[in-house]
Order: sequence, then C-alpha cells, then structure tokens
Amino acid sequence: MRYYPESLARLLTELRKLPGVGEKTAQRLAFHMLREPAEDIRRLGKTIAEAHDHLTQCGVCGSFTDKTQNPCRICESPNRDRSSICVVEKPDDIAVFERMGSYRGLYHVLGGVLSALNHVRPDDLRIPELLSRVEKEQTAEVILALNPSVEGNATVTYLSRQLEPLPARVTQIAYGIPIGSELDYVDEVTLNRALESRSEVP
Amino acid sequence: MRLEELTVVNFRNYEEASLRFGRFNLFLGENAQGKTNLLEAIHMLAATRSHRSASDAEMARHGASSYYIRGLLNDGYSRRRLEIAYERGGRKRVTLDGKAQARFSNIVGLLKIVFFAPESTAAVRGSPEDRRRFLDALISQARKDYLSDLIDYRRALSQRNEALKQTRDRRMALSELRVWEAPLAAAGVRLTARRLEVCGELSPLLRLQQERLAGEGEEAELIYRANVSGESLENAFAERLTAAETNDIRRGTTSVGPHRDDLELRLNGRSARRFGSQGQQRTLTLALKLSEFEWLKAATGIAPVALLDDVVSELDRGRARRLFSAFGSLSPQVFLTATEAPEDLRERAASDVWQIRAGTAQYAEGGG
Repeated sequence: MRYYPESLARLLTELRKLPGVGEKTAQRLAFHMLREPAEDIRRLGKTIAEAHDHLTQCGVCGSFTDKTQNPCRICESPNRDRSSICVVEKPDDIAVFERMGSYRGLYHVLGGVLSALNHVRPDDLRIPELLSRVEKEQTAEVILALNPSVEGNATVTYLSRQLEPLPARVTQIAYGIPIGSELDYVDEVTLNRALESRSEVP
Repeated sequence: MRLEELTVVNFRNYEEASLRFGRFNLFLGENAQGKTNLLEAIHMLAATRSHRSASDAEMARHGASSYYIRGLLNDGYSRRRLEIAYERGGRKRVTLDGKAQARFSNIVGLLKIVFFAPESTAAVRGSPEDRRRFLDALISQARKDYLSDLIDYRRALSQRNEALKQTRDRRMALSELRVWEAPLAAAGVRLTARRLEVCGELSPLLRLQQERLAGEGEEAELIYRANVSGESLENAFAERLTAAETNDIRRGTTSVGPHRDDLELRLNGRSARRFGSQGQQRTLTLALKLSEFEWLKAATGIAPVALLDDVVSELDRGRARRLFSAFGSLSPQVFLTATEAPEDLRERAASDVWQIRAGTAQYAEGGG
C-alpha cells in the first residue's frame, strides 16, 4: 500500500479489519467514501461511533439494546409469548428469527458455544443467566437453536442436562432440507440428517 | 468419469505442464524425474489431498510460494473444471467450474480412483493406522456423509482429549467433560456401522480375487475388528466411554472408539501381516486393490480410474500382466508409471506415452 497517501492507507487498513472485507472491497469502499460529500461521511462516522456508545447488552436476553431501553424491546414487549425462550449463539441469530416473523416468544443469547480447545466454559457463556431465568419466569418451553456443529451439539447436551430438574420442556430445532430447493441439489450430509429425523405423514 | 486434461503450475518439480489424456496413459522415465508427481496431482483432484500425506507447502515447487492444479473431467455427458490453488500462508482453495467449494467433501469422489503404488502394501503389512487410512480413503469416495462424519469425529475426539487433560488438572468438572461424549458417540457409531458394512461387502470380493491370482489353495479373508461392538452400538459406545472414563482422565486421551479399530487380512485363517511371505503379501495387496475397484464400482455404479505407480518393479511379470489386463478391460482410464515400457503394454496400440525428465513431460507417441 506504499503507493497510497498516508491517510488513505490508514483508512484502508481500518476497513480491512471488518469481516468479509478484503483489499479490493476496502478500496472500493474507501474511494466511494472519498467521492461522497464530506458531510455525509461525517454523519456515517458519527452514527457508527454513537451506535457503539449508545448500545449495551440487554440485561435479560443478552442481545444488543439501547442504553435507554434496557431490558430490550423484545424482552419488554407485552405482545410476546413469555412462556417460551429460544436459545441462540449470537445476537445475529435473533435477527434471522425476527425476519421470519412467526416466532412470538422470547430469546436468550449464549454468546458462543462450549469448546475445551478454545477454553470456553459454561460460565463464559450466559448459561447461569438462562437457568435462573427459566426457573424464575416459570418458562414452559426452551427451544435450543444452536448450529449443528460438534461444539453446538455438545452445548445442547450440556444445556439439556442443566435444564432437566426444571419443569420446562426442552426442544431442539430440526435440521433438514431447505424449502424451495430441489432434492437433487441438497448435499448428501444434509439429506442424511433429514432422513434420520423423518416424521410420520400426518 | 475420466480426466481429459491436467495442468500443473509450480507443483513439485514442475514449473508448468499441461497434458491431454487418452484411455491408456504411460509416464516413462528414470527415477526422481517427476512421474509419481503427476499421479499425485491426479490424486489431489480426486481426494483434495496427497496420497503421500504431503503438506501443501511441501508440494509447492522449490523456491515457489504457491501451486496450482487444474483438471478437466468428463463423464460422457458433461465436462467439469476442477481447480486447486494453494498459496503459502493461506488456505488451499478448491473450485468446481469456477465456484469456490467450502466443503471439500463435495469434491471427494467426483473423480473416483484406485491407486496402486509400492507403498500400497502398507494396507497388508503396515500399522492399524495404515489400514484405517486405506478404509477411510475408500469409503469417502463412495459415501459423502462418511467423510463429514470422519471430520466431526476427529473434532469431537480432540475436544474430549483436551477436556480430559483439563479434568485431570482439576480445571474442569465431570459434567462438563461428559458433554463431548454425545457428539463423539454419534459420529463414532456411524463410522463403525459403515466400516462394518463395507468390510462385510469387501471380504467376499477379496476372497474371489485372491483365488483368481493365487489359485484355489489360498483363502483370503478381511476381518474388521471394531473397538466398539455390540447389538446396539449406541448403548455399547456409551457404556464403554463410562467404563473407561477414570483411565482416560489419567492418560488424558480417549481409549474408546473407531480411531482404535483395526482390520485384519488373513490367508488360510492366519494373519497375512505376521505369517505371509513377501510374495503372498504382494499378491494379497493386488487382490485388495482389485476388490477395492470392484467394490467402488458396485457401490457407486461408476468404474474408477486406475493409477498404477511403478507396479512393474514391485510385481513379477505374471502378476503385472494380470493387473494390466484386469484394469485395462474394466477401468475407463488407466495411468501408469514405469522406467521402461512394459512388454504387455507395448503390444497395446492405443496408448499415449510421455517421456518424463526433470519436471518436464514430453509427449512421445499416441494411438488415440
């Protein structure tokens, strides 16, 4: 990057730290920003900084929320079904469920999955918070929606054992064939998983 | 599926080479000129890894920081372009028709191969690990979920082994250690069941091939010794893990599961590894390769491509002739390396020959 002016090189270095941004994307973003009116770019910078300053972790579910709105909007909403909690790995996963729109219950963000290799322990995840929540709020159902990785499955095992003494029903989302895809385009591993969890025709 | 064209750049001792193949392909040349490297490149396209278990950095040409392999595959209906690119410091990238492949298991088995090299006798003579590797390589080509179970199993195994060490050092509670049992057992049970099934199918094929090669008197048998066995593999796995827990914690390593399986090859009821003569072991290896070929063909409906590395020096003429005639009539495509053209092949009109010298492949003659 020696051929760039110093301040441009610094901008490129910062942009490249973002996920999914390589050299080419960084360059495209940087040149776009430089072409925009200074005022717009200042607003962008300010918005990013403010978002960072104003956001905090929701004291209940662990997702992001504004500091002025804690617990978050979903946790506070009178329209949500308070008898069910959907457990996810990260806040991004909540957005996926919300876009879908048909789930009306509450959420709980673990902040990761167990890993002996990476030294991630139950106390590093928001597992104690989940247990006390389920106990205190008399939750009827806990839906585990973790990724079907080795670590995700281990975490499911741990959670189901920890939740066992409580009256809540513990379920796990199903894995299988994406709707709208043709069977012959589904990879064999997914198909096998779907075959294993097949169900009776109603 | 056949390999129509192979291009390698900065791979092993090749700076750049491009070859168009026919049905019989012979790489001729002195030792250490690069014959096996071409077979290795083909193995890379088939399995995304080296048959010699070489690392990516090792395979880049001396002084180069990257390598590139491209194969054009043809199954008679459509052509596919398979590319593997590696750059030092980065990850190996595999693309199919220009599309990057996140899961290499989608690629493995596209080009089905049977590889026969002097070191193939390891499946008979070598360690249990050699024999498991033979079995894993074979099943992965035919059953996609097998490779993904294998990857999951290894991952769960290293998680549990790390957890065992932390438990031993009193940094982890038992309840936390035990969470790794479920993913370990789930993948382990599937691997064990699949290996049992495949070995059951492979054994009668092996018996038949051995009989053809060595005559009625030699009865070959392939016995799979699963570390975990029982009516219900699920229950057996769980029970064994529980029983072994204390010992596993002390040793910091998992003693139960398919990573401890073995495969026994027998001749007339006796271990071929311990009691077989060198000649018997070679014949058995050959019979094993031929049954591998037949099994792959039966299991997938597609006859694999045969890669025969330096078999003339390894086998006597009689066995070599049988090998050529078997693969010659059954396989859609054959690749062969040798220091000089074997007599039986000289008589064959339709073969393409390359002279291999110091990392260059000079097309010598072809019959089309």
